[in-house]
Amino acid sequence: MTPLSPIKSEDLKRFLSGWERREAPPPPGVYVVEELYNGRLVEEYCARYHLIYLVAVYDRDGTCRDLYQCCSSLPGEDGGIASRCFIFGDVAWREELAEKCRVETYLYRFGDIRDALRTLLEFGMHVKGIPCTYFSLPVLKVTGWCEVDPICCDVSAAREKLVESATQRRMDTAAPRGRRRDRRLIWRRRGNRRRGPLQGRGVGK
Amino acid sequence: MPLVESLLGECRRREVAEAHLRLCALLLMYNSMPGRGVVYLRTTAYRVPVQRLLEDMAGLTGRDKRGLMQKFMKAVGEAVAELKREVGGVASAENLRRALLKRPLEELRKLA
Repeated sequence: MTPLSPIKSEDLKRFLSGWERREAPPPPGVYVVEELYNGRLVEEYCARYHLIYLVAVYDRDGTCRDLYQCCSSLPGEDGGIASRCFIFGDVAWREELAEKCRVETYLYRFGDIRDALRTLLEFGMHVKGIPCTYFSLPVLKVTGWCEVDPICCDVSAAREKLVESATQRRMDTAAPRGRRRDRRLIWRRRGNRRRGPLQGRGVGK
Repeated sequence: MPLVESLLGECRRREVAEAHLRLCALLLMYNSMPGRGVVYLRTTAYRVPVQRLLEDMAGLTGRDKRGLMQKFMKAVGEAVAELKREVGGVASAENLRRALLKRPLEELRKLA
């Protein structure tokens, strides 16, 4: 048993062809997955595998020379360095992990934030097999994933359908039974009429 | 997770539980799984959560409860068998929760 499921190396290679690889922890940035693993499991995992981070660097003008440095130092357009770099990883990076884990960080330049986030989303869902609800809602909204798969963002419609279909099903199953009972009642009444009012109860004998 | 909790709330209604047994069983399993640590996949581990769910259900006779309990445990057994094939008999709670959550989402997609 492994606490985190490692990615198949062929899937990883296929997905990350063209990405810049660094044997370093991820730079500062925004994590796209909300539910991350806890510390103890990570240590167990690190004993066997590398920790892998994908960093999508938003660089609209192509001014960024060193992607890693851009995340760490350059201020973003909307004020913070974090807004430039989006990170996918199983664990939020912290300094203690450096002693225990071997880390690989893959970086790629994107001219469009939507593309950047969608790539991370696809990696998480299709390569890592993470349920879409684990991703943060703003990420799902920006990528347009809420329109593709509404359940990932809002379950209220599904909830209504759940109740609706259950009620409908109950009515469907109740109706034939009711009809059958009615028919039986009519049959009994007719029989009673033929036999006379007291015959059916065994009193008339 | 609010998604699971809100849907599980609906599963406390008898007609929903009867009509969507698999979905409710999966949600219940997700909700009653430990947050962390190692999980041994066993059907019997979910017997008490199912019993609690049935206790919350209004208007059930003892016979209804027994019948529904049997159906629920069958659905749980099937889900456990599926998960065992995917993640093995022993898994970390995190991995199991991830593998488990995909299933109710699929059920909901079918419904939508």
